[in-house]
Amino acid sequence: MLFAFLAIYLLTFLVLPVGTMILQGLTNNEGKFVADHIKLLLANPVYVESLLNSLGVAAGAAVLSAVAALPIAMVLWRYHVRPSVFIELCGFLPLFVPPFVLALSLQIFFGRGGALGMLFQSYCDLDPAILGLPSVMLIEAMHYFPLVLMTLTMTTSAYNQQAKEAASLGSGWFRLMTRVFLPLGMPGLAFGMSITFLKTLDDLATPLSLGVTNLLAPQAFLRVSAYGSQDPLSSLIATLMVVISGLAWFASIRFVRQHVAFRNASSVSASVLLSKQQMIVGITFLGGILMLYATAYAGVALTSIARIWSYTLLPESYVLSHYLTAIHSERGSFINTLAYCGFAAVLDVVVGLVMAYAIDCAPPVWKRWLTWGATGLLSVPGVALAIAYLQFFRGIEVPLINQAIDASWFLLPMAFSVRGLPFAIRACSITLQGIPASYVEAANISGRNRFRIFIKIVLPMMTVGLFVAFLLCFGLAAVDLSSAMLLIPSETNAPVSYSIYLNMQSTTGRGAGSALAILSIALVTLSLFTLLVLIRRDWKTVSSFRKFVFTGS
Amino acid sequence: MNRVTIEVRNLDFSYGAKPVLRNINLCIEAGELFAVLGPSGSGKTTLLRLLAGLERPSAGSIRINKTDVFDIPPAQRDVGMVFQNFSLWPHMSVFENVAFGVAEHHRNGTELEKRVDKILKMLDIAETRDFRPDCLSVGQQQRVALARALVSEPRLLLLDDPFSNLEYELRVQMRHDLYLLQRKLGITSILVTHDQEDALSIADRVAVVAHGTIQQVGTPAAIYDFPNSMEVARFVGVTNFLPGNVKHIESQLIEFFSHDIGHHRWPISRDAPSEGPSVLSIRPHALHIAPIDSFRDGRYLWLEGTIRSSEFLGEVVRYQIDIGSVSISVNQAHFTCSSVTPSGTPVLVGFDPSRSRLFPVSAEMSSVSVYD
Amino acid sequence: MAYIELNQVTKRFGSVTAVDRLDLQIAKGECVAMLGPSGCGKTTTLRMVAGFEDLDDGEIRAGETLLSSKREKYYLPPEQRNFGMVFQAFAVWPHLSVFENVAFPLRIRKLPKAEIIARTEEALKHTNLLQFAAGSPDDLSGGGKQRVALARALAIRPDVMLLDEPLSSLDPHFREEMRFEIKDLQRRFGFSILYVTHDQSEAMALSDRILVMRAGVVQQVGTPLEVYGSPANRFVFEFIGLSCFLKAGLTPSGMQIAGNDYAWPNGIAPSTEIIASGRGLLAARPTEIDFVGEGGVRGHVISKAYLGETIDYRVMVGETEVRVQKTRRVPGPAVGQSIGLNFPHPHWYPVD
Repeated sequence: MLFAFLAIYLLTFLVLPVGTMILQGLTNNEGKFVADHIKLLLANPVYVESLLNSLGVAAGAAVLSAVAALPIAMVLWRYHVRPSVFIELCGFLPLFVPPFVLALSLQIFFGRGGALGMLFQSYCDLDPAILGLPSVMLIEAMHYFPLVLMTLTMTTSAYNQQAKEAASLGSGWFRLMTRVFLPLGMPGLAFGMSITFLKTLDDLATPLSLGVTNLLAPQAFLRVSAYGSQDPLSSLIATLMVVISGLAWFASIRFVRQHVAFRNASSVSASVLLSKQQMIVGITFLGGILMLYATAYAGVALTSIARIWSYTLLPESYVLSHYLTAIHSERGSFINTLAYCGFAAVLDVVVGLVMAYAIDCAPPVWKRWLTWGATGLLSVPGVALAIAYLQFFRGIEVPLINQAIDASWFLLPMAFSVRGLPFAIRACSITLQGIPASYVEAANISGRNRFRIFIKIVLPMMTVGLFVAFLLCFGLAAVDLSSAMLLIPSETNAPVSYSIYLNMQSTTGRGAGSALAILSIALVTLSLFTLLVLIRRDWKTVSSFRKFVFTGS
Repeated sequence: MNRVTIEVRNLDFSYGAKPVLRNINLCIEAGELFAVLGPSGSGKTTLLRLLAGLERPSAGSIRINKTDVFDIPPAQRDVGMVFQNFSLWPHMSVFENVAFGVAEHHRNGTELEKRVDKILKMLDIAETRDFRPDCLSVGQQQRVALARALVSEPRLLLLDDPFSNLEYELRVQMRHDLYLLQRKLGITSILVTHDQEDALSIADRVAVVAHGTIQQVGTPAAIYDFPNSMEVARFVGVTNFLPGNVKHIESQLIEFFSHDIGHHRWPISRDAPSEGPSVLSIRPHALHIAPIDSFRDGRYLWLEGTIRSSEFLGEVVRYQIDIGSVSISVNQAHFTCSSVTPSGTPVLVGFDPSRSRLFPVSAEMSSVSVYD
Repeated sequence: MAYIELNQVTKRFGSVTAVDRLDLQIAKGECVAMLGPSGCGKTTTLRMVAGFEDLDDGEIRAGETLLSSKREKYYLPPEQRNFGMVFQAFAVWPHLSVFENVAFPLRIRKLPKAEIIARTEEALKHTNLLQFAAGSPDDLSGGGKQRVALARALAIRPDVMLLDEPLSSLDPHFREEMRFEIKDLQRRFGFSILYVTHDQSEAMALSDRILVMRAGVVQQVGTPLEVYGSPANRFVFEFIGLSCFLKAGLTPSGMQIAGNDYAWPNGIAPSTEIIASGRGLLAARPTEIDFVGEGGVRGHVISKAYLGETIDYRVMVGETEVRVQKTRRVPGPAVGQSIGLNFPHPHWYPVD
């Protein structure tokens, strides 16, 4: 029964919509396969340019973030600085904060009316909106850089302490870097880079807020807005995005899956105290990075408390009214976010648990394919999924509320849940594996009541893991603007991230939008902190957390 | 042969305010296989790391071949080290792992290969040359780690609990192999371990470390037979403790009294134990069981007891014997065709007082459990 | 009188026969250890007795009750067999208190409240856990957790206690203590024990009888003394206790070891079949080999290791290393010395 539910869910909300969308892009009105649309697409220089731009920007962002992260990770490794779990978690913040906030914050600083923009205006124009594509690339790279740095540190730090010893006993540092650091860090690097690539390709809000439209995601968005959801060209663009993402993901997985060893990582380093030198290096580099981001987000932070801020270095007077406005007028979007993302996350945990269980029980051959497919879900871009939904569910009436399904908010949480599913499956399968069979058998030998055993024994043992999965999916859904922007039926149904985006577009809403953004970031950090407390309570989860990122089952 | 002596004088080490090692004095002879034995957290690994130069002492000196090595970085101390968890690189083959340990100036093509192949052959793992470490058995991984430590022919070999990941049978084998290898190479070696059998079986001398200080240094037999404190007696080997009271009767005669075994007198041979509350420590092997009505040999002290239970362990049978309110362990060697005395049988338990030890205890400690 | 009876029990996993036609009777109050290297089928057998695995052939009974039978396709579910089980990894539920861990099996059987409390407290008392009852099992040491697992199994008042390597996750120091405790509980409650272990000394110390298994096939069943003193075959000899082997060429008048001829001394000659094959394996316990200055099988000492009370000698006889263990109270040979070895209690096995 559970598996039937799983199959229906996957068919209805993933396989069929995406399948139909792909067909839509490749067939003509009679349902025959034709290359007409492809020809049309290639004939239009705007789309060809967008394709090349998208590839360039995404790859550029991935490479840039890696280029920035590598030397810093090397220095941290060289001085055996092991970031604490909290800092490691902070590296994953970019996944829970939409990059367009950074874009807008920088624009506040460097834009025409911004503090630094003014300062430099006489020499050069640094307005990100004018710089266009390069600024999208730079902002995405900067946004995802902490992720790349932390995944890199995580894969290499397992051997940190021993590297020190081996090195001290007669080996040059250059040799250690090329022979040990790089090969060891490869899985982390590949993972971080591929996430950056996928997220950048999929990002809709950042280019739009900078006024950049010659990328695939904005083009698809614009076509859907202009011609409606049945437009075959938008389907084709979305299909193209799926293909590119899929190729990128499966190219990187080869590197992600190679010899990651976490053996003894915690036991070796947990007891070692940092020396003064290590402390200095750690504080300088990690602190420096923290400062950089604090400054970058200062634009939004200051705007949120500034009465008016224009053409001055710093705001002249400060108020808290933006926060009051934000809380007052955006109560609806907060409730929306809670409802959609909560629903999506609950669904994710349930589906993820069933799916993880199915993978666990499956025969070995199936297991490989299922795991492969589960992580492959990562490569379905939000924009593409949204377009697929709009086409597939168009005009279907929901019986009870007499409303078309694509005009209701219902599709939003479904899209969120599909997007969060790969993470949920990984989290759930690690949670499941954390309960050895003997724990359940010890219960089975003493009584028959399966339901009671599940409720009393199995479920409580999984609480932490499932809660982590829930928070993860909730956070991911809350920032998933790429699908949200297309699927939101009306402004009253908008989640917070969309409200931030809308508010920031207008000069009058900027203050409230910034306040909203700051509030959201604070909430995200708070939930990360909750995660940390949970993880601390149960050290096993820390290694699970690392495993979560890197190992297939 | 590049044998070195090591001299450690008044060595102190602390992590911040937390003292880890205090006043360590050691002298290790050239070519010696020296074991440092201690429970986890005793500071034994830190001592090894200080010798390797991975940590710097807070006070005191370390001299290798009469040269103070305080300012010599680890790379130039010419030591090989085997880590507890082997720390083999997962992405390199066995050959590459071992070759990684070769010092810079020896790293030209053919010589490198010759060196690595030689050491792999010596350690009997030549056939694993191109494998990745995760394809190897634990025993093989251990050998690779050893090969990596020895490939640049260091003057000093440091082993940090290298057998702790191995199963018992393998452990015995690896230990024996290490002993033969050390004897063959003649390299001064220091083995840090928490396992008393590792230390006793192959080391020339053993230092027992606890709470950051050296408790006793001596040959394995000396440590086993003449532990200088309860701590050492408890940590090395299995022993029975009988609480009681010691009184000096004459210059060479003492009396031991306990509610459980009554008054007993015996002459003392070595240093006189102090008077007052004490525990009598006696190894299960040093006790003999005889039928209750047998002749009481005057060389032994005889106690009357009842067999509570017995465990047949192959080479030995271990009896638990109730004497008064305490229960002590007695090991009797088992030979083919000998039988096990059944539970409930009253027996005599005899021991040679010269094979027992007396340790003074404070009054509140005299109620400690007798079987430890 | 046999209480648990396994008749021709067989289990296959794919093409591998994990347990092959195993017969075993366990009397009431008896402790039987299943001993063998990992993967020999001992745990599978235990799980079949517990009811976690089906059989591919044969049947298992408890007294008059049929537990599992292939022929009748009958399987009594685990919870109705009234067996207690203790697992290697403790399997103590971390989210429940010590008391609730022990009480859970009783709660799930829907016993009256008062009885649950009485029985739980009784089980906790016998395992010396009463003062920890309200605490979390995570605060206990490995030995403490295993005692909770024991108490949990005890609370249902089992007829049989199934122990799956219960001591191997404990510190060596605690193992001995737990061994005594298990023995003690058995004496008090009178349940039978089926015990799985790969540690021969544990099996010998604890059990009334030992079943030695290898690759799914029973090698020998007997008391510890029988299994140690008269092993059924070479595998059992090697697996139980210390052992060493010497290859010998055999003739009716004597043997040839490492190129030297020795006439048969009194009573150590092998059976005539082995002599007839011309080759044999001389096996002996290291503790039962004597050093002699003159005569004996000649070798030279290559190392001496000190093991507390005994000294472990390695003697090279030709290409073979022979271990000899002697108490160090008797002076022994020095390293490098040529020495003769006498075998007062030899065992002979055919060369494969």
